[in-house]
Parts: sequence; C-alpha cells; structure tokens
Amino acid sequence: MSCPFAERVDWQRLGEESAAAEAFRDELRPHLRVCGSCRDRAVLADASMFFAAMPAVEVSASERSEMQQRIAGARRLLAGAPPAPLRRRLVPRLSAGRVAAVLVPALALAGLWGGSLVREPEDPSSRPALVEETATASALHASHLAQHLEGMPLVDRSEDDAPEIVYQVEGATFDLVLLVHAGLDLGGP
Amino acid sequence: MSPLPRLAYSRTLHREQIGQLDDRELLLRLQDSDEVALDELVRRKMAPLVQVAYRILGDREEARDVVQIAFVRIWEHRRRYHPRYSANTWIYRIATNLAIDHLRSRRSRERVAEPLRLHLERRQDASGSRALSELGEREVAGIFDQLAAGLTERQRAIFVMRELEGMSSAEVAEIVGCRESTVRNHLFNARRVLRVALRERYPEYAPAGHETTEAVP
Repeated sequence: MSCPFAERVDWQRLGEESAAAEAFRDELRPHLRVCGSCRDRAVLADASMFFAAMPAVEVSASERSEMQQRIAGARRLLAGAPPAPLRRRLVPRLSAGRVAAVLVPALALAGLWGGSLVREPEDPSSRPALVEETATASALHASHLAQHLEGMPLVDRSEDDAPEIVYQVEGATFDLVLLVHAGLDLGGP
Repeated sequence: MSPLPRLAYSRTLHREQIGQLDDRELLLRLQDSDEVALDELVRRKMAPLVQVAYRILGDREEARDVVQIAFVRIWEHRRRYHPRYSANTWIYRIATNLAIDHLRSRRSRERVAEPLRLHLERRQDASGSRALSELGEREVAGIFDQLAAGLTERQRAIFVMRELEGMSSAEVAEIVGCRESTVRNHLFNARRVLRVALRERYPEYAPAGHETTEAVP
C-alpha cells in the first residue's frame, strides 16, 4: 500500500545538489525511518538514500557502568594515584585511643541493628588488623556513635551494592575505614 | 539521646544536582575536577558517541574503545573547554577525530590483506542477495560498512554525521574543523561513491531510477 505522503513529494529533488535539496532530505529522513514504501521511492530517486534507515546502537546499563569504572581507573592513573576505590584512598589515620572511641559505639550499633557497621579495608596487608565484630558492645547506645561522628568530615557516600557513608576520622596512626550503613540515617539530608 | 549529626556532604544529593545541569554546565563542573560530573557525562553521551564511532569504524568493540579514550581525553583537556562553544560540538570533535585516526591507522594495516578481503566479499555478495523490503536494518548497516570502505576517512565521518545522525552542515563543519562548503563537497562525493558502489555490488537494491548515470573518478 502506498503512503499518502509519497504522492505529495517531488522525489526528483533528491538528486539535486542544493541547499533546498539538503533541507528536503532533512525533512524526509525521520519519515523514511518508519515508512518502507517512501524509502523505496527515495532509493529509486537517489540510491544513497538506501542508508537512511540505520538501526540505533543500543548501550546497556552494564556497558555504561563498566565504561564509567574504566574511565575512573584511567582518571586515577592520570592523577598519579594507585588504581584503588575512592574510599580506600581516603582512609584516615587514627590514634589507638581515637579508634577505640569510635569503634566501641559503632560495634554497639552493629549489635543493635544486627548489621556490620565497621569493616576492614579490602587489603589487610596495608596496616594492622583492627576490627573484629563483637556483640559485647551491643549494650552501648546509638547516640554514642552520633556523638563521635559529629564534626567528622564525611568523605564519601556509596549507593552501590550496600549503601554506606564513609567518615574521615582525624589524627590516627593506622588506617581505618569506618563504613556506616546509610540505612541508619544519622542525619543525612 | 543527643541529636544526630547532619551530613556534611551527600553524594546522592550531589548526583541529583549534577543531573539537572545542561551539557555546557556539566563541562564547566568538569573543570573543577568533579568526578560525578564525568560520570553524568558518560551516562548522557556514551550511547550517541558509540553510535557515531560505530558507524565510522563499523566495529562495535573498536567504537567502544574509541569512546572510552574520548572520555579520558575530555577529562585531560577539560580546562581547554570554553563555554562560548557548544558542548556537543566540543565532545563530538574529540570523539570523531579519534575515530577517524583509528580508522586511518586500521586501514593502513589492512591494506596488505586487501586482495583477499575483496575476493571473500565478492563470494559473499553473490550468495546473499535479497529484496530491499526483506532487508533488516542490521543488514543495511553491514552493507554500509562494506561500501563505505570506498570513502576516505573524512568523507565517511561527514556522511555519518550529516546523513545518518542528522546533524546540520554547520555543526559538522565545526566538529570536523572545516568550512560548510567543504562539508557539502565531501558529502556529495560520499553520496556519489556510495550510489555507484551500491549499484555495482547490490544492483537488486538500487534499480536504475530517476538518477543520471555517474561514475566515480
């Protein structure tokens, strides 16, 4: 069945080389993507119109995420930093006393909420093993953690697999990453 | 119980704010080394850039590699962007130039294997003819890739951007870095090469119509 649009078009204009012919092609192009009969007419008038209906290239979410990660890795290399995740590069240095002050209420929260609030960085060889989950501190109150976190600069917030907030704890002598489960809502916006 | 502390910074909120910026503002945020802005740029531009690179290169994997390098280059050169220029033009220029360079170097490597490739293509052509209406879009893309081998790298890039992506001549001229009249010349030549190649190699899809007979010099 012929398209009504086809009857109104002067197909010969496709063969012309002029600004008006270019504008005509621009106008025609979207229609040719959806109308086979007009496409046949167009190709008859100008064989190069054969390519007017090319498929759109699809990019999946996983391809995009993979590219974002690769680019982030390249960006870190350019900056001269080791290709490690952001939160591991921002690991603060803590004094033993400060660690205890933070860990005890944090572990208490772990007990209260039944989740892991404090975890070691992924590479344990980089500093002494610090953290071990324990239920003994579970009697301590959540507000202790809030007090200790108050004033600490927040360095990162992850929304990936497990939502976490990373706080920077100042004045330390060994590496620690303090990951607080974002579900605790310690006052986020 | 003491009040809970407010977050000094929320990455989620930052992402939301970045997501509302237009492309030009996004490039300006890159100048502050904002990594979230780069992520957002990849989210917005990856698919259209992969599409253009794929049509210039005819290979999906190569297109993805080229686009990845383009994003890294955008990051490296982020301070060179001036807001008086169109963000899209600046981004496409980087990606398109990389794709053209890549195609050029690949072609020089392939030149050695040219006689064998042509022989194999001819055999394939003889066995796989079908009516135009039966052709899928992917097959059209495959035929374009074959026939576009007869175009120069620049002709191919201009044909892709103008004819397949629907960019204006002015935009293409700015991306490629030449005058609009040069774009038109390349475009006319590219069309002529493709018409002739299509008639020669796929006469069933390009029957003699209203066109005047022409030959590629």
